[in-house]
Amino acid sequence: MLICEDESNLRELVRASLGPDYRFVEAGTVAEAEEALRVAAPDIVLLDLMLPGGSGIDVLHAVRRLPGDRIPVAVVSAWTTPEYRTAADEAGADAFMAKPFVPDELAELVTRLLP
Amino acid sequence: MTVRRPTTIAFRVLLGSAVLAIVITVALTALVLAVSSLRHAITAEARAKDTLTSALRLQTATGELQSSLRGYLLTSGKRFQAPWVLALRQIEPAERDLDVRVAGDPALRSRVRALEAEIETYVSDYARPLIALVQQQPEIGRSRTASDEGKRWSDQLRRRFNGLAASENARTADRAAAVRRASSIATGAAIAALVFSGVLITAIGALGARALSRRLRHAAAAASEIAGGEFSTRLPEAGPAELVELGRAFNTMAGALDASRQTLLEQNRQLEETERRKTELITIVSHELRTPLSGLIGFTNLLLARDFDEATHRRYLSIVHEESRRLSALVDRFLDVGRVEDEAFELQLDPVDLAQLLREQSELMLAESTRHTLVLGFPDGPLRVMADRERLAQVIGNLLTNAVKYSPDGGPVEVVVRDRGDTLRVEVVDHGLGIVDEDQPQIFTKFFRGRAAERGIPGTGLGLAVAREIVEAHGGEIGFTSRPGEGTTFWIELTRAPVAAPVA
Repeated sequence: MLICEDESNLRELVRASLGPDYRFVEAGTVAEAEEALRVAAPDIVLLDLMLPGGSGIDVLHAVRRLPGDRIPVAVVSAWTTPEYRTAADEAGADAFMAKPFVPDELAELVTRLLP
Repeated sequence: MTVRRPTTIAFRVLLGSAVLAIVITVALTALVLAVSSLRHAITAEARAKDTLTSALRLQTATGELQSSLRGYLLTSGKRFQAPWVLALRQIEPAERDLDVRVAGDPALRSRVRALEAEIETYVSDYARPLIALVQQQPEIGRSRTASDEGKRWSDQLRRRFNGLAASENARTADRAAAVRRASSIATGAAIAALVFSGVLITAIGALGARALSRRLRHAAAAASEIAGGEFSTRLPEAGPAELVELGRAFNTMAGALDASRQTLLEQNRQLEETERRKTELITIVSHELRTPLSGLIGFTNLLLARDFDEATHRRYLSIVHEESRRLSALVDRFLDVGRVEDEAFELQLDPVDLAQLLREQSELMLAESTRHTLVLGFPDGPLRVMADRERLAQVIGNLLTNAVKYSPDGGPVEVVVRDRGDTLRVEVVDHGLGIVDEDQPQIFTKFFRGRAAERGIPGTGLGLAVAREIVEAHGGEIGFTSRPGEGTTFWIELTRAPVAAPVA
């Protein structure tokens, strides 16, 4: 699972919420995220919209451009206005979870999205 | 002092009226004179008539005198004595009457006296002696009637009377002609004056009033245009003095209206701008608060819902603690919105060790970002400034946070202190995005965020505005240099503290 989030505490929160059954790859910037996509080939991406170096939407586009099977992407963001939700949707997000989130709900979402 | 002839409407109207008044006065005077001389003429004519009538009466009386004398002679003194006496008695009153009539005229008076003397001579030197003679010798009477002397007297008297009448008539004719001439001239002058007045009045009315009316209508139209929103309308400042004044006053007013409208539009624009930014701020604030809140809610939820070992438990609790403090710091920073507006910014000034403060803040910064490295450059010796430690820490913290935020790909952040004698200069240098030229003038504006929102960089747009207020309240200066794509250097300059003071 690729976690794209610039706050280290929140990355830790995601790890803690989802438990030890997953292998985590972390990225704090758009550049790191794109690098990780190439190198680590994640099965699922959790994506914040506010990333240094660009926008989470750019990462989303990058994910959608990858060859192969479609990787599920869940956007996890504090920016919950309709415009952002629509933008995420149009860029190809599979789900949108607002921050602050309940850890169990995030875990459930991930389970649902993974094949 | 030079006296310029005023070109005012008032002057022109006054001038026209004066000319008109003079012309009319002249005309009326001429008419009055004509009437007066006519009256004189009438009076003189009446008097002349009376004189002639009186002279005629005297003539008649002398005629009767002569014929009764002749009758007396013819009848040899037998008859006509009574008529003679009657006739003689009528002479004196007639003469007296004539004397009265010609009393005011010397020429006439001398003629009349001569005439009366002649009559007197006739009576005393001719008539009476003759009568006396006939009374003594009646038979002589008849022969004397055919004598030349009687005829001579008769002709003489007649000549005198005719001369008197002729001269009187001639004078009357002369007077009549003079009066006719005078009245023609007066009438002509009056008519000319009236025609001229008519032309003058028409000219004033037609030209003056119309021109004035046109200018006034023009002014009214211009006022309507301005009322309709067309503020560039102006009146010509030319012509008579009153219209120049009107034009100038109007144009000044229009100019002032235009200027104040521009000012209001500008103020409105600025208010709208501030409003917009405030709305943006509220949105940003609510989102930024969610980040530490996510940590708080998430970790406390985990801690309550699941079991963890002691170490992990402690770790998560410390994160909760950290996020709570960050939330608190955020709230404080957002509360500064109000304080930025508030002029009464109270500072507690003490000597502060700048080096220590900078190191502290830099460590905090490093804790927030693993991608950045810190480079410190301090000169030797004590670096002390007079400052409010908390506020200064806030400013340094803000500059460092910005340095990190605006170099998202990581890199070095330099913190350098320069000794400037009386002041110390702190520079915070990043090698990140830089600030584009268009944004540079607005960097310290409240709520200004430039390109930050596009790039996903969080912030309120208040940090630098607050920082500037704080630095300037210290009597210091704040500034920056930047090149897009290469990085930014923010600097602050503060007065050194006196060396001997104890350190805060």
